[in-house]
Amino acid sequence: MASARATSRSLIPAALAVSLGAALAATVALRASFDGERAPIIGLAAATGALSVIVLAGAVASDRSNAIGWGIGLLAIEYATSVLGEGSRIDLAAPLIGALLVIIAELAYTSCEWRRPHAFIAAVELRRWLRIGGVVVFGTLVGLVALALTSVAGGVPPALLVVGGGCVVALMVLFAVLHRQV
Amino acid sequence: MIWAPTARLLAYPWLVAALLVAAIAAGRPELAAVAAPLTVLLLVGLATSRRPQPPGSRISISPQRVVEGDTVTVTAEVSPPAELEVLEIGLPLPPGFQLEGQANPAARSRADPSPQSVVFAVRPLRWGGYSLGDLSVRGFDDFRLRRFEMTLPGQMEVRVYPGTDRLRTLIRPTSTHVYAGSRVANQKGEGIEFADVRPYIAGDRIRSVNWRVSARHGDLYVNQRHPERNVDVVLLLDAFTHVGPSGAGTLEQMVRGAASLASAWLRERDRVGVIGFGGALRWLEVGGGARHAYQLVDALLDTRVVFSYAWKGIDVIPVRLLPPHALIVGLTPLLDPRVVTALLDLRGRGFDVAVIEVSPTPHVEAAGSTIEVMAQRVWHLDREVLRSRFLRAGVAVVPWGEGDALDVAVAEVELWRRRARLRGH
Repeated sequence: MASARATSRSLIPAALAVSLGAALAATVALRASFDGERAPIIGLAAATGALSVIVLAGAVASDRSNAIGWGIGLLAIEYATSVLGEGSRIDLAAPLIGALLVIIAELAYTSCEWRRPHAFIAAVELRRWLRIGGVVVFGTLVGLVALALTSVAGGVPPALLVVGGGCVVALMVLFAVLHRQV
Repeated sequence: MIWAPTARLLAYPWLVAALLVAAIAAGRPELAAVAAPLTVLLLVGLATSRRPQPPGSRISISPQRVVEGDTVTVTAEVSPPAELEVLEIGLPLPPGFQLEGQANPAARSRADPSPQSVVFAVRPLRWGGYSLGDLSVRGFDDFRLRRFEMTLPGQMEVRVYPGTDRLRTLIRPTSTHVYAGSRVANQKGEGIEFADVRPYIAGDRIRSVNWRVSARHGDLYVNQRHPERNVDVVLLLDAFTHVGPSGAGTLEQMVRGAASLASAWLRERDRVGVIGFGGALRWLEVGGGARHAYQLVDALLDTRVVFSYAWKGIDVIPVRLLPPHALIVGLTPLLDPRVVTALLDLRGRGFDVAVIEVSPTPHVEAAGSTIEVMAQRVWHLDREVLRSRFLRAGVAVVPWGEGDALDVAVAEVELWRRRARLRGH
């Protein structure tokens, strides 16, 4: 049984995760409505965003960490829908969206972990968040570089798509290998 | 040992895969860029994650025999594995134990790889035998993609003895045993308490001569005294029924009362035995001394209600458990007819019997409707009739309520028995 202190401590990351998720969903929906060319897609993006916030809030409120992935996935779908409505222009803010998704997911998972009896050491938590921050910044830079290269190339040629597909398969295999090694 | 993926590792790869496949299918590089931070986190997290070695540990419990409310200290020396940043060490507490002060689980960091000690002070709230000392340890890798869990075995038996009341009075048995003790016997012989004077006969000790009486009568008279003897006491515990919440019902009260009575009689150098009369019959023959005191309390700790429909009378009690002239003290809520019949049968066979009624009334729900009120009144009347049956048979029955001093109940039993003796019952 979780202690009162553990429950109250878990409220901080839960509130942060839900409010960041809501802010991201609202921002993406607003951007889509300003820049969008197709109204049904904008409506779909907004609906997906609202649903993602509900799923995320429900997951952290009911301590169902398995549902957090669905909330994050719906946020990503909202962004993908809005991007598809934007036309051919490349959105350079995409890596930032990815970084925010990671932060929201980590906050939500942390909230669920803190719902149960746990040992809290502030220094350790700080080190962990610094680690996550470093990785996210690096990942964002990688995403930005990739987008910059694509925009310089003037689009996505079919050959690059084939290479990308191969990279995806290679990445999944790499995940599987690392997963088995541990 | 568990080394399993967390919810993160179950969700992140699917998200990355879905985003990258969508990026290729839709020809939108932004979706691949969205996946980039998550991909980097996964790659770094999986690359740095290492299966930890089971941590070395040494667990000790002190003391292993305590009285309710005393503190038991569980000390564990654990070496945190280097693969985990923090090792959380938790002590699963059995019901009836309370942690004092410190956090549970406690955390130990890999910053100090030497064995680090964790101390848990726990307080048992209820008597009984408990297994304590297994520690559950938990930890995560650096990015919390995998969790490590295992149980460090350190299980030891902790015996929690019931707290005993100091009794000022004890039930005085009708007859004593032949061995020396602290009770003034009815017989006359060598002792301290003055009994009578009688004419001197050859062989009497000179120091027994009562010179005043001898001078008055002109012949030698000697003092007679009551010898100090011990008694045999058998505590008969009703293990057929239990009323009230687990840990604070009639059974717990009964065992506490029995422990108090037994320790008081053993202090007086009497011999005490115990019979757990219920679905399963448990007993300890009468005996005395410090070793027997421990055996007796251990026997009391094993008292539990075993449900049974089978009729059980005193014929199931081995004869050697009921020494002749023993005082039998029944501790019972007077709810099961088998115990009632057994106690009356014992009285009928000439044993000296007294009953301390461990009252179930405080555990009975308050009556709501008129019918319930009526039913409770009938039930109380029925119990009154039962008590009067005991009293008519010459058995003192005194209710002992929850929270009442046992000393008062014992004094009431003794008072009733003294009056009965005066009436020549």
